[in-house]
Amino acid sequence: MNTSIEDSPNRITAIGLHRQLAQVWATGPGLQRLAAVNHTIIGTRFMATAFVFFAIGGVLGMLARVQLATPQATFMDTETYNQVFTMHGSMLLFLFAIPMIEGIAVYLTPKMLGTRDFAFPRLTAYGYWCYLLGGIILTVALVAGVAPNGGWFMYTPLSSNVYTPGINADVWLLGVTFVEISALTLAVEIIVSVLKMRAPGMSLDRMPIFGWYMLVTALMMVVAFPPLILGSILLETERAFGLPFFDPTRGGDALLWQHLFWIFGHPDVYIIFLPMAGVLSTMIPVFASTPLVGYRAIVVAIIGLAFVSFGIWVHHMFTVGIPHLALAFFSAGSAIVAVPTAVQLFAWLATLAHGQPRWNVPMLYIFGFLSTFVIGGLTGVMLAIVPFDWQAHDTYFVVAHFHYVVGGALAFPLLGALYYWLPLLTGRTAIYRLSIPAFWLIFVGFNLTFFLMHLVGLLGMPRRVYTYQPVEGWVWLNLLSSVGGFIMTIGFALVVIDLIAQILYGRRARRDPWKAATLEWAMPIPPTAYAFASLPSIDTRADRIAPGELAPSLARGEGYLGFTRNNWQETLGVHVTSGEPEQLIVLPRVTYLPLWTALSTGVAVLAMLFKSYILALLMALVVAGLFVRWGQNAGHFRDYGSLPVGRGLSLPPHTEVVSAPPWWALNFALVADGTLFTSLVFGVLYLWISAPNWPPAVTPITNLPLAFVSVAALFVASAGARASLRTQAGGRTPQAWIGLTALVLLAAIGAVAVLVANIIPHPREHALGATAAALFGYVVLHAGIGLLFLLSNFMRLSAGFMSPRRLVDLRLTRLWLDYTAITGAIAIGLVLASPALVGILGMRP
Amino acid sequence: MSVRPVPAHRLWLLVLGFGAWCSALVTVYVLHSLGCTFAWSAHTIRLNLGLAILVHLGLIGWIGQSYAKPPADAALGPTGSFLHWVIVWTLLAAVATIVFTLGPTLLLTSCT
Repeated sequence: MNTSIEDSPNRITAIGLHRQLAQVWATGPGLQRLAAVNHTIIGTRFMATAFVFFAIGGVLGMLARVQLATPQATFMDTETYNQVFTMHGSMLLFLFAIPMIEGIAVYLTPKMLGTRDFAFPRLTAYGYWCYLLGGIILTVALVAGVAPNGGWFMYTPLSSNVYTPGINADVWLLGVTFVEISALTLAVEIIVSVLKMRAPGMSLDRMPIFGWYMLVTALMMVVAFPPLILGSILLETERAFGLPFFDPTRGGDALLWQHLFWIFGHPDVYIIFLPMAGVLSTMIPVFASTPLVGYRAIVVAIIGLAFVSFGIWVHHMFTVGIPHLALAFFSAGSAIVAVPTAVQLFAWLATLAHGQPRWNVPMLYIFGFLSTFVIGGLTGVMLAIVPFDWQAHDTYFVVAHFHYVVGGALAFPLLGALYYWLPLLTGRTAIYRLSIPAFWLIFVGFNLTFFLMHLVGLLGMPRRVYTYQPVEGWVWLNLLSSVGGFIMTIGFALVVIDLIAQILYGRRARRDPWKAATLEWAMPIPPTAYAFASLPSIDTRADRIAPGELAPSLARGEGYLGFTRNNWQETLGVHVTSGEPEQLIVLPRVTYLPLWTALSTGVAVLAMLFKSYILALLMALVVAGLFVRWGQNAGHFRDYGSLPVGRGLSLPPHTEVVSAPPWWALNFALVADGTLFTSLVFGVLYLWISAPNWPPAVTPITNLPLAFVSVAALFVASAGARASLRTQAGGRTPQAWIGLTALVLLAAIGAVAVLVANIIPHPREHALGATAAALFGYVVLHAGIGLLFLLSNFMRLSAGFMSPRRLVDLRLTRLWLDYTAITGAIAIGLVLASPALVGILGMRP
Repeated sequence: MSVRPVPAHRLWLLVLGFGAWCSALVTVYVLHSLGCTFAWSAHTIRLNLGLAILVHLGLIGWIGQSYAKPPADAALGPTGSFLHWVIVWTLLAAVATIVFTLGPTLLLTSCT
């Protein structure tokens, strides 16, 4: 029986508390599992699905090695080979690496931070379903023989519809964008959860280092993914509607794609590395039996690494013909990025040196990481030197380099993490008879496969060729490399068998098998849906606790929220820096809405893939409607004021505070959106300054009065949202203001739509017109989403979700419309400035 | 003395140093592109790039002087001390990064 809010929480037994919490946090059996939103379930699904795509991507890699094992092999023809290597890279990077990172983050982060779930459980579930559906689309395309075939980076003009007329490239553009959007939503959630949902008392200096790594990684995702999403949208628009963003004959530039791709692509490899570095920073102190050395230095290093990784993308483009001066600063940046990495490496080595290392299976993989990652890092510094890169570019030397860094930075730490945390996931320990031979087979096979690629690359073997001549001198190196690949594959197969054996036959694990000092071990294993029976109060660094002493106390309900009430799934929100508890967060329960929304999104993507644009538009409206529907199940119908949360403390629910998680989430979502907008503005200016065939033959013309009306309407809408908020805060109902704001937004949309219809030069004739269409389209999209906000406001106001204390909805709407007005002014202003920009071009000598 | 929570807006100081580095990189890249497109002289390009670098170093210096040079406020407790240390060292690292990555480029030929 739940405690009502009027009663003081009564102490119950640990078993009784467990039963109540299990009932409140339960996901039902059978088909009801499809409605799961719990982070433990979703995190496990992410990891399991990622492993499936790892297997498929790995098999594709082996097929490529079979083809290259001997010269002039006929195992595959060139078209098949192109699809195989493209899908190998695309699957492993987009469908394995990032989702695996996110799966580990989803599963582990709440546990390590001492909270019960992530901030937005339904969004977590939606992210998973989008990932699964996007992955299925790509996999089905592979089976059907229409997989992407232009390399995992889809360079233009090869990926344009002139040179890739089939749907191969569209599968990549739409499928990858689908997956990346889900990754972006999870990134926003990770940021909000790390900042606002830690255990009480867990200030930033007490947070486990894994929390810092995930926070920095998620912030990187928020800035790195939007340029790729924009580039994919622009390229798909070019392919579908003929807008020449990348077509140099009509004022576009193929290099714009490379810039947009690698501004994402280079930070992406650090996005993959940093969480694994967080895993290493967590495991190494445990196996060294000593606290992590250099906690503060590591925080500085990862902040530096995050920023510098965004400033060196051109090292993937050293051979495109940019001036020496530009080459120089990207080369210098690419060299110095090794410094923060080295700081972390030395911190780990110092930790091992300070302690008494225990050698067991996870440590074997840490050793594997150290050796492979250092080799990969050193070849990276070699490639950072421009003259060397000019020799090695597009050869197998580069292939060797990135497999060493990705294998070192991801594969080895991941396998170590798997063995380390598998007792937590499964409640069983490994048998280990297979684990050690499996490691050595992987280690020896990996080095045999990829080390020889350095040599064959320096001997001149290019990338992405399906065969080679026997006289080139590459025969034995390729054959041994392929043999190494098979040895490695046997090793991975043994790991799979070992894991299955552990799950089925392993010994029951005790609570803290490694004698670790982090919070995820202070709970039952396998974990329950509610993670912690009561939330701990942290008064020391959270990687120096004693899980064995803490766990029984938490199980007895002696922490915060050691009770249930109203069938609510409750956790606590804290101050960003100090970790002082400041709000009671009530999380949404199981629902099928994320699944329906993801399926609808998938249908919209498929409709675009098969060029049924009317259907795509209709499904997009369905998705929008479903998101509005989500809002009808969140929040409270009344003000509660402060509610008891245990240990003598009372806190208001999150619906009645200023610093609620949705507020933080929208701010970071706008950082992502702003990055996409900045990338668009960069693209426009880049084409203006660098693209051939500028200026266009036709002078650009824009309807000035209509442009000003559009901008004015956007600002009036923003003012209307502010008036709605003031009205509601004053205790009056804001329906009239909401309605007025909606009308003004509709007028803005109409005005911009007229502007779009009258763009000169025509968007298909020249990139100037195409970029104007993109800028206007951005404004229309955001104003349209503003209408959705207002519709949701109206519905939730009518349903009773708002009050003078419960103002989150209207604050979110005000923020969105402010952003729309500011970016709208910039976008429309840039289009209005295009005649002047074109005129300036005439001043070029 | 009771400990006050570190205000959330102080976290901006963690990113301002390297944010200035990003801004310097973008500014240098843009000025260089504009200079080469509109055929500025090599001297003009180098002067503009040098000024851009100095402005950003000055910005970091001002941030350091204002926020990082004074010792950590004891009233903000261990969290304040931790953040102060991290802020100082990220600012120093950002200065070193600007000098290392952008300084030597001024010695190179401009547009070829």
